[in-house]
Amino acid sequence: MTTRIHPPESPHPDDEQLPCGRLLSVVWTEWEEGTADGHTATCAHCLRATAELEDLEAAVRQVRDETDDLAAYDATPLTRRVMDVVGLELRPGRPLPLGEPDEDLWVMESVAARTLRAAADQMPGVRAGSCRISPAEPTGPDRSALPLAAPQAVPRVVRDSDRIAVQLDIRAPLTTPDLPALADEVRERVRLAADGRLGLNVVSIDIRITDLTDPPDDMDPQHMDPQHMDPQHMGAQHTDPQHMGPDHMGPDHMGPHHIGPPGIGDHHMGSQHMDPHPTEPPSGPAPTNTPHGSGEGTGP
Amino acid sequence: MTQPAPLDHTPILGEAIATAVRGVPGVAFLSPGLTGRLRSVLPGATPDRASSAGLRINRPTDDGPWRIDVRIVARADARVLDVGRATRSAVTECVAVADPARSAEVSVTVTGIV
Repeated sequence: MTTRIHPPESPHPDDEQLPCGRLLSVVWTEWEEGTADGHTATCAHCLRATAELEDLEAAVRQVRDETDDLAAYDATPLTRRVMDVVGLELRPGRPLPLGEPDEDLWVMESVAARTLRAAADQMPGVRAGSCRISPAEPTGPDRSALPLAAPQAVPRVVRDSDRIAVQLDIRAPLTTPDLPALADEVRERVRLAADGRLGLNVVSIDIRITDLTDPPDDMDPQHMDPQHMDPQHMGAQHTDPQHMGPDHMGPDHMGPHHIGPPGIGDHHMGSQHMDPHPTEPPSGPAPTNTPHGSGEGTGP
Repeated sequence: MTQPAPLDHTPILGEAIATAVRGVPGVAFLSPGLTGRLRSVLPGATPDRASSAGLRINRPTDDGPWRIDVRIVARADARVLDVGRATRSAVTECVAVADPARSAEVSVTVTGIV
């Protein structure tokens, strides 16, 4: 059995280590407290780090100085952006294995999900939603369940598989004549992107149609019918159904085809709602997350 | 607050590795650290492509291998797996030249595509 080791655990996982070996937090603290030693005063890396902190402080002062009435200033947008950045830094999602098990190569799930959603969006009238990408047979703990931990902070996890499973939610045009065929085409585009643009070893792609929407006005009706699509344009020369695992390629894996009553549901999602969970109230919002999806960094 | 003692070779090796990684085809830049990300939300901010925050170098034991964790942002026109492999090779070769007596365990993570 081959094994894969997660990125090396750092003794200070949430801190940034400068090239000189010092921790960013320590350099900043000593600079603010005026206790910096001779090294910090002469080290190019430490000086650069303190200059960055000065830049940030200058920017904050500038915002404060430019605001005449601090009480009326709405800091919410800036605060939201800053917290988004901090959240992304502290919890960037989980890394997905790339290449061979002993290569120790990774791509962040949010990055891969963005690429795969874009591939699905290339289908006329199709809009990708939640995209969950996960190891097909993980043997270690689920990293997505770990709170506020940078990847380096997670103990090494041994995997015996680099196989990846994809679960993608899409909204399809209401006038699509053959939904299973459309799902197959989306699946093929996702597979090509996963292989050609990322290099992931994807073994299953589950497409779930969560909603039917009105097609764009400029949409060619022929393009909604996969039977009329040009296989060369679709990159079908790279198709290898065996590689994908036929068990996951069939329309049965599109999810249940329960079409709810027309005109019910989210107005932004179209006039007809395909409900994969028939027991849910029909008037609720269309599902956009897979049942097990964390949704972190993978939403549209 | 404690911090690890600076390693003799770390600054030189870090600069060499950062330079090597930036020269890999398909690598846009090393992943920015928290300061770079925070700065990016400010009006008129430009990406800090010279930051080496995406590089972590450790040597747990005196006689052990280097542990090098590289975080990169890849270019959209390159295949992520190929960029990762090329980066790993570049780092391994860089360490072999800078410190031939010591091996390196290299981990590469692609944290973004631009």
